[in-house]
Order: sequence, then C-alpha cells, then structure tokens
Amino acid sequence: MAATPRRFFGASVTALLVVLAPAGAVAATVLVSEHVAAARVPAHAAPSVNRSDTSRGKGGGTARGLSVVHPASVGCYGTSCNGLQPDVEGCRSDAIQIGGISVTDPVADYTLWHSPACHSAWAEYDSKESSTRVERLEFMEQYGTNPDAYQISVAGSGNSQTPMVTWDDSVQMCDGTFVLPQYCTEWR
Amino acid sequence: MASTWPRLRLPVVSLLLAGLAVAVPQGAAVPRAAAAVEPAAATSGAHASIHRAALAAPDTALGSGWRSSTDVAVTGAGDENGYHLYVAREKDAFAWSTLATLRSSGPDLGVWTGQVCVTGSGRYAVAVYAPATAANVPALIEAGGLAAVVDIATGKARSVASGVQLAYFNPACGVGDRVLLTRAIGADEQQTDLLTVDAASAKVTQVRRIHGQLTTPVPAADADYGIAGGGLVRVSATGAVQQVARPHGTVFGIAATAGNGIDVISGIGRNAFVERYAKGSLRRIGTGPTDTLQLFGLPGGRDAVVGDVRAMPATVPGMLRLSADRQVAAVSAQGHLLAERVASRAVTEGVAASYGGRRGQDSALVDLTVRATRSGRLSSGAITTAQAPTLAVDVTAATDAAATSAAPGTSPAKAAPAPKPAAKPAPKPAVKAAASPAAVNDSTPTCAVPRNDPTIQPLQPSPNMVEWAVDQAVHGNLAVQKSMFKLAKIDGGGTVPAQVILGILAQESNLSQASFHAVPGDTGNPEISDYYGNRAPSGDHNVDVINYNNADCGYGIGQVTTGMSVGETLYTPAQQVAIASDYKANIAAAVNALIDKWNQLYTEPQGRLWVNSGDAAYIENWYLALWAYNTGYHASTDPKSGGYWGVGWLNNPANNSYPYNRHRFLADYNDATHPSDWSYEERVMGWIEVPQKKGDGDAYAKPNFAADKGGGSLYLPNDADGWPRQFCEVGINNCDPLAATNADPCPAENSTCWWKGHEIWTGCPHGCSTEVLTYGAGSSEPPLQRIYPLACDDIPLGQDQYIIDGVVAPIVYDLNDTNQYALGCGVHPSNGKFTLRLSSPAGSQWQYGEVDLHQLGAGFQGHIWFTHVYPPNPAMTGDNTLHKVVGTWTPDLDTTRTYDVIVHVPSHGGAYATADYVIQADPRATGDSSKQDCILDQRSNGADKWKYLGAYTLKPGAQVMLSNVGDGLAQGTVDIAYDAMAFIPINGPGHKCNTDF
Repeated sequence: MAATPRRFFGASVTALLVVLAPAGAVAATVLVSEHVAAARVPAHAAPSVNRSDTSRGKGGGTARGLSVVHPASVGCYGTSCNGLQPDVEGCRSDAIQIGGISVTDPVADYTLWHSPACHSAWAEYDSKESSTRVERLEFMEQYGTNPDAYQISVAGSGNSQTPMVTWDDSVQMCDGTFVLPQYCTEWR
Repeated sequence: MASTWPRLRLPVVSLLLAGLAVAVPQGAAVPRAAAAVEPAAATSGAHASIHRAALAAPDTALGSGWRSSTDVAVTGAGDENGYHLYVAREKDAFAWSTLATLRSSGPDLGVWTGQVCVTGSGRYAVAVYAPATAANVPALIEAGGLAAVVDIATGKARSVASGVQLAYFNPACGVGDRVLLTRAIGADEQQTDLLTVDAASAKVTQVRRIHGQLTTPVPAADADYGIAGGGLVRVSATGAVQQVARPHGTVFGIAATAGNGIDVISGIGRNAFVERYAKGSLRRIGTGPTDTLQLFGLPGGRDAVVGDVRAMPATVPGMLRLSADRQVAAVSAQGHLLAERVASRAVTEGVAASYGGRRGQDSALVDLTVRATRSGRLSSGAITTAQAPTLAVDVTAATDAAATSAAPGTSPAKAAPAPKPAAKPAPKPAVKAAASPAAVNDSTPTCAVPRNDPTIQPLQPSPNMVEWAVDQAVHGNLAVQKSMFKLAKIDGGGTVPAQVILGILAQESNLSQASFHAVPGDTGNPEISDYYGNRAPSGDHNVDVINYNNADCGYGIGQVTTGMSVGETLYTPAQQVAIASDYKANIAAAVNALIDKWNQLYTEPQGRLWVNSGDAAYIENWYLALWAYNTGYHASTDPKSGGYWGVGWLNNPANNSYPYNRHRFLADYNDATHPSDWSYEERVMGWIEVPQKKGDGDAYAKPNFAADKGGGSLYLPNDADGWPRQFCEVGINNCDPLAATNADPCPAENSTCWWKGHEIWTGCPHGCSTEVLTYGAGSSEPPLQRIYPLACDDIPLGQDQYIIDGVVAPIVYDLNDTNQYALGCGVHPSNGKFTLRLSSPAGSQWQYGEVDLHQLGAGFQGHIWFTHVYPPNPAMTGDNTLHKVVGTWTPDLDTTRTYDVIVHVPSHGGAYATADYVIQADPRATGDSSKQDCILDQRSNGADKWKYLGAYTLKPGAQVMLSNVGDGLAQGTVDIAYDAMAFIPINGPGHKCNTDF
C-alpha cells in the first residue's frame, strides 16, 4: 500500500516561499501553488460557524450531537488555513495523527496530521538521516475535483512540515516528485 | 384543402430496425393474417419472463419442423441502461432472450434508441445506436451515433465506429459480411461519408466521401449502391457516384440479393412500387400500398416484401413474399416470424416511466407482438432484459486517445486540470497555467453550469407543475418573468399557444428539468444534452474521436442551448444558473427563445417567412418557428449565410433523410423510439396532438383541434396537397415541388435549399387549432406529486440494549455543508467529513471519474451521491482507471470507543447487492490487514432504511470507505449509493453487518 506509483497531477508551481522549519534543523523550500498564495487570508479568520450539534434521536437512545469547540487561540479554520503553517496558527495543539508510513532509505517517518480546532490537515517529514528530498501534501476538493499539492524541498535531517489545507479536502502525503514518486500514505 | 395524403394510422417501424427475412417456401400460399391473438405470454410480471413471448402450440403455429429449424430473429429496443439486442430462435418456439447491451459511459444520457440489421452471412447483427435525445441535436442526427457488431451466436459485441448518422437506413446490411454506414457532412447534409465495415473483423475498412446526399445505401454483390438525387447510383471505389437507373417513385427501401440484382421500393402518394435492378436495367415487380408494403434484406442473399402483398407476384427469384396487415419491425432470417411490434416501455411510457415503479438497475419491459408466417398465429407478451454481454463504448477513453494523438510527445498528461466551467463557486480557484499543451479539449465540459455541484440541484417537477408553468409562462404570469426573464413581445402580436411549448418540452426532455435519474420530487443534476461532444473532423479516418468542444449544452426541460456555453454573454451567470436549476425559469427562457425565432422570421429584411394566416394564436402557424427552434434561422443579414437565407434544409420534410412512407409522428406511440425518422417540427406537432403519457392519462391537455379536422387533430402539411414538398418552390429555394417523385427536389442539398416565403396549407380559423389552458392566469403552483416520500425523519434510535445513554452519536452526511440539502428537511450540521475521490490513482483523471457520478435528492434528508458499479480494468485488481469512485466517511471522534456503525440506504439510487464498506478503525495503521469490511445489500425495495455495518472500535480519525469497483460481473448499470452514516456509541457486542437497523 505504501509505494503507490504516482502520476503527475500537473499542479503548476508558480510561487515560491522560503521558510525556516520551526525545528531549525532542516532548511525547507516550500513551493505553493499560485492560488494559495493569492488566497492567503488574514490571520485569525477564525470560524464563525457554530459546529455544535443539536439533539436528535428518540426514546432512550443517545440524543446529543458532537460538540466541537475551537480554542480561541487558533489562527485559522478550514479553507482559511490553506497555505498557512500549523505551528504559526496554533494548530498543533490538538493535532491527531491520521496516517503515516515509515521508511528505511533514508530512515524517515511520514505523518499526516489533522487539527480538529483548525479543521485542517498537513504533512510532516521526519528524517533520521541526511537526505535531499521532495515532500508533498496532496489534496483534492471534497467531492473529488481539482487535485493539487503543496510541495516542499528538504535537505539534511530533521523535521519539516508542509503548509496546511482544509480538512474538507481529501489529503495524502507523498515523498518524491510527481515524476518520480516514491512513497505515499493512504488518503484521508 | 382536401387531403390527398390521408393520415396513416398504421404503425410504422423503421425498415431497417431488423434486417432479417422471411422464409415462407417460395411459391407457397401466403396465409392471410390470422385474426386470433393468442396471449402466449402474460403482458406483465413473472409470466412474461417465463414465456418470453414464445409461440404457444408451436407444432401448429410453426409447423412440425420447428425443433430442427435454424431460423433466428434479431431485434432491438432501448432503455436507460442502453440499447439492447434481443434474439429468438425457432427451435425455442421463438422465445426471446437478451443478446447484448450496447451503451456508452457518458453521463445522464437517458433512454437509448437504435436500429439493427443482420449481415448476409446471418452471423452478425450490426447496430447503430444513440441516446434518444440525440435526435434533437442536428449535429448528432448527422453524425452522433455509435456503431457496433454483435455476434449472434455468442452476443459478443465489438465497437466499430462513432460519429455515424441517425437515419432510418443506417446501418445497411447486404450480401456477405460487408456493411455500410453513413455519416452526413455539412449542416444541410450536402455530403456523405460512406463507411465500409467488415463485420467479421469489426473494422471500418474504407471511408469514401460522396459529394452529395446519399441515402439508403446497400452493399451488393458487385458494388455498393444507394440513392442520390432520386436515382439509383453505383458508388465507385473512390466515392464517385454514377446513376444507373431511376426508380418510379421516392425510394424508401432497398435490398440486395446475391444473384438476382437489387430490389428497390419507392412511393408516389399512396402507391408503392417494387422494382428490381438487374443486368443494367430496372423493371417493375409489383405494387402495393405505401403505408404497409415494406422491403427487407435477408441473410442468405435473399430479400422479402412484407405487408399487403396481394399485388406482388407469388414467385420472384430471391424474394420472399410475406403477408402482414401492418408495418413490422423485424423479420426472421428465414421468414418464419415477423416481429410486428417491439416497444420498450421506457420509451412508450414517457414520463409515465417514472410512475411505473422501476428502480435502480431494473431494465424496462419490452412489449412484443410477433406473428408466425406459416400459420398467421399472433403472440404477444412482455419480455425482461437479462444480463447480457455489454459493450460500453468509453467515450471518455476515446476522448483521451484523441487528445494523446493530438498532442504527441506530451506526457500521459491528463495533467493540468483545465478550467472549471464558470458558474461553480470553487473554493479554490482551481487552475494553474496548463502544463499540458493539448490542442483538443479532451476533458473539460464547455457548458456554463456544471454537474455535481451541490449548490445546483434542480427539482424534478411533476407534470402538473410543468403544465401549470407553461400555462402561466406563455401569458407572462410567472414570477420569474417579472424579473429575470421578462416575456418577449411577439412581432405581430399575440401569445404562444401553450401546447406549442408543451410539445417542445415533451420532445426535448420528456418534461424533465433534472437529469432522467431524478423522478418527480427528487432533485438531481441539471438535464444537460450532449455533454460529450460528437464527431471526428470531417474526412478523418479516425472515427472514434469525440471532442467536448462540440458539446451542445442544452439545459433543462426546454433544453435551452443558446447562451449556455462558457464564454457566452446572452445571460448573466445568475440567469444561467436559474435556467439550469429552476424549471420555471427554464420554461420562461424557452418561451422567449421560441418567440425570438418567430420574430426573426417575422422581421427578415428580405420578407417575412410565415405560414397560413400568420396569426400567432394558431398552433399550425408555429410550424416554421419550431423548425428554426431546432436548426436556427439563417438570416439574410448574417454574413455567414453567403447570400442565402431561410430555414435550413435538414428539417425540410422533403429531405430524403426522412422515409417517404412515414406516417404522422406518434400515430403509433412507439414512433418515439425512432424519432430521427421525422423532422423536428413534425415531432413537436406530434407531441401536441398526442400528449406524453402520465400513468393512465395524458401529462397535459390537448389543444382545441381544428374544426376542419373534426376537432380531432391538428391540420398539418401531411393533411394537404403537395406533401412533403410544401416547402419547395422554384425560384425561392431551388427545390422543385414538381420534380418527378423519383427525383430529389433539391439535389444541391446545400444553402440553396433553404426555404423562405409564405406557404398556406390550411385556413384559419376553421382549419387551425388553438391553445387550451388547464390552469388559469395567476393560479398558484399545483402541489408536487412525489413518487417517493421524503426521508426527513431523525434516526429512530429507540430502545437498544447496547446504546450508551447520553453519549453523542455523530452523523456524517454526504454533503459537508448541510445547508446545501435542498428539499427542506431542516438538516443539522454534519459531525464529520464525507469525501469522494475519482479515478485511479485518485485524482489522476478525475474529470473522467466525474462523468458517471450523479447527485440525487433521495436518501436521508434528501441528498445522495450515486454512480454505477464498474468492473476492474483487465489485469488491475479492484481498480478501474477512469470510473473508480471512492466515498469516505470520517466522523469527528474525540475518543476511542466501540460504535455500532449504521448507514442509510435510499429508497432509490442504490441497488448493489454486495456493496463492500471498508472500515479503517485505526487511521495510523496501513495496509490491508488494518481494514475490516462489511458487505451490505443496498437494495431497499423502494423504502428508505438504516442498516448496520456492524460494531467496531474506532479511534479518532477512523473512516469508512466504499468503492464502486465490483467483481467483474458489474457492467456499469447497477446503482451504488453514498448516503449518510452514523456512529452510535455502544457497550456490548453490538449488531452484525448487513442487518436492518
């Protein structure tokens, strides 16, 4: 399941951001497709949606819906997180791991993360060995349209992560370029 | 005004619907048709499938030798699942079974129609088939059909060509396994491509360009022949035509014998003439009535005349003579059986099909009436369509191949998603500068309003609502006409008779605003015609090219086309969305579009085009506007018209593309199965005269019929002198009404044939018909007549031993923004996310995966997605490159615990008995071992219900997936639904997979 051959989606990469990985160990070049750069939203465009549900059901059954409360501290929600960094926006605090793989050449972990508070997802690369790699967070709109990707180039060892995308999308993480794919997580 | 062309009441089925022959021993007395009808099979239900319309008492009906007979009959009929071929063998007492199903993978194509002939060897059936709605699109009539060869022994079907003509003479079988297909070239059909097919290899072996209109081709022993300019012509190896003889009347049938020449049937008024061309000359064999005498080519180098054969000689070498008292659909290879009537209820029931209770994958019943020629015994019954070898021509794959060949050297690049059509409010403005330089638009529909957008879910109205809206719209009384679509003014004054609009809506869409998948009361995707484009560049040998740039973009109930492509500015985006999503807006736009055609004719600077009294109040006077509604009007001021003006040649009733022996459209309701035998205006007038059916009644009111016709029918050109040449006038359109009946009245077949001027065939008011309004001005919209009840109720959790009191039960809806639920159920926010991933690898060719994806206002709270179950690609386990759809439900879970997982099964839209739901309980785990599954039967017998997937211990991030790739038996016809899912926290073991909730 891990090594799924990939086809090139043709996400043309037109904007280039250089950031320092928070861990500081790896210099990461983040390539973000054009529309995301353009659609970069003001920080703290926090959700106004009240996600708490109302009761349903009858009789003795359970009757409450889920109640999701966003920490006031997060800086974005859903599509407003697109292209933003999870650490900067405070999205790591409640993150859960929703997928991942480990590989041995180089020794590295690939992890998909989801923050319920930010309603977002991102990918993390954690390498124990020095290597020059390209990592991608692939995503497509909720009902299967317009696949796209965030791509980062990493050099050295250590930890780096992709920008975030809304949790509404399908997401997976892949190692390697579109042309020469190596490993991918399953879709989430 | 006395009619010289009586309205023919005998049903006509296209001559070539079945090309098999008759085998009464030559010289034997032809029995008169027996009067007794033996109901050998019940007309409905289980009995039908058992008897399959077989002849009872076959020793008597067929003669004692029937068990050892090799005679076989083949015919065809279509429904929403495709065009089906049926076969009946005499050794089975002519019990019918399904031979093959032909279709394509295009979206929302509705009911299929087709025609079939059998090759001279008797081994192959050759079919030309297309969605019935193709008959509304001139470019598709000319070149929108698919062609396939089917092995009669095995049912194996092979695709031969796309982009072939939809005409009564296509396909054309003859001697041997050589078959001819035609493709009309040019808007006036001034040229013809003649495709030669070798049925044995299922290959097009040659394409010849004929510089003229060639009809009724036939592959004879020595050469190919056909009719051009009214004469019998021989087609040379290079496509040059040479006239060899001139038949007596207008030819409507032709057949080649192996050793006795070519037989031709033609008509002059009521009289038909059968002639034989042999040894360089044409001589008459016999005569009969035009309305019942038919000519069929037969396997084995023979042919047959069928019908009222009293004026035919008993013995003609190579020709069988078979008696019938009506036109027939098919003749068996040896002539022992006539298939008199073959009618799919999917067509004959019209909008009533929705009321018939067919669901999901069910095929429509086919009503058959057959006659044993030896005894004259009749048998009638209804047969069901069984699983059969299926050929699903993948139009998207063809598109893909075209794109690849058009851009050699590019990567296998479905690469850059092309721009999404305008109206979709995409959260991420999709597209990047394309990496693919593909010159052909191979993937992106060019129509302005997309499919599968949850914000665009038109309601399928019930017919009473449609009639109400039309009655209001023609008088400007719809609310939407006060704002968005102000009623246009008719030049000369007056209003459009309501029945004219109702006739258009019936012909264009069967009164459907949403796609045919939606029954009244459902929402669905908009009905959009010809999403897939059509044909090869003319002259190109590659007949398998389909290009979305040729898409028609006709939307909704009126198939409003103008202004509905990306980039057109006639309508604002809001108006475009309204036309796609609101049946009232669509009708208002359709009324204006028709008025626009009327006004164009009225204001032609070179002089008005009009008929009869020209008063808009009379239905007959809209004949030309209907003509132009379909093919447009060529104004004298249009520089593209090249100095000519008028209404086009394609819809001129004098055009030889239409069979001379046709009766009035819908004189037999089964006429709707082969609409391309009539011009567009003839068809709409037919739907006015014979309303669409709804259950037991009519879907809308008939008009006040012309008094001169006894109040029983319209007064149409084929009631009058000169039919079908009323729109021919020397000096006006180069079309000679007095040309001999055996001549083409407008042999140029080009813009010189465009008609203009004034034609009178009836006098108003006594010879004209007027509207009847069922709903008075300003009356309110009548209630929706739903087919299925809405499933708005909450989950009836009730008492259950396992449920943990007071703990939340997340529900994951199939729309993440539950404000998009459109049927008014009052839906709560979703407690998780639902996603779809299209094609395989996911997203790689998502546009193709979307082709057969549909949304429907069914299921929990009124929305589901559904697609069809596809087989894996060869050598791909569980994967289908183009059509794979994976739905995923991911609940928002805040802790790990055990849940009873339940899924909603909709009353319609899901019919897959072995839907394999895959549960990923731990999102961090990978591989097959981390997955559990539940195989669930989605068949719900028409009722909404919840079913258990079973109990699972789920971690936060857990998900459930459902793929539409089946076990290989599925052929893209069985519905698979994606509806809501809920996760009930429990203590204890919980419930088992596939049990009812």
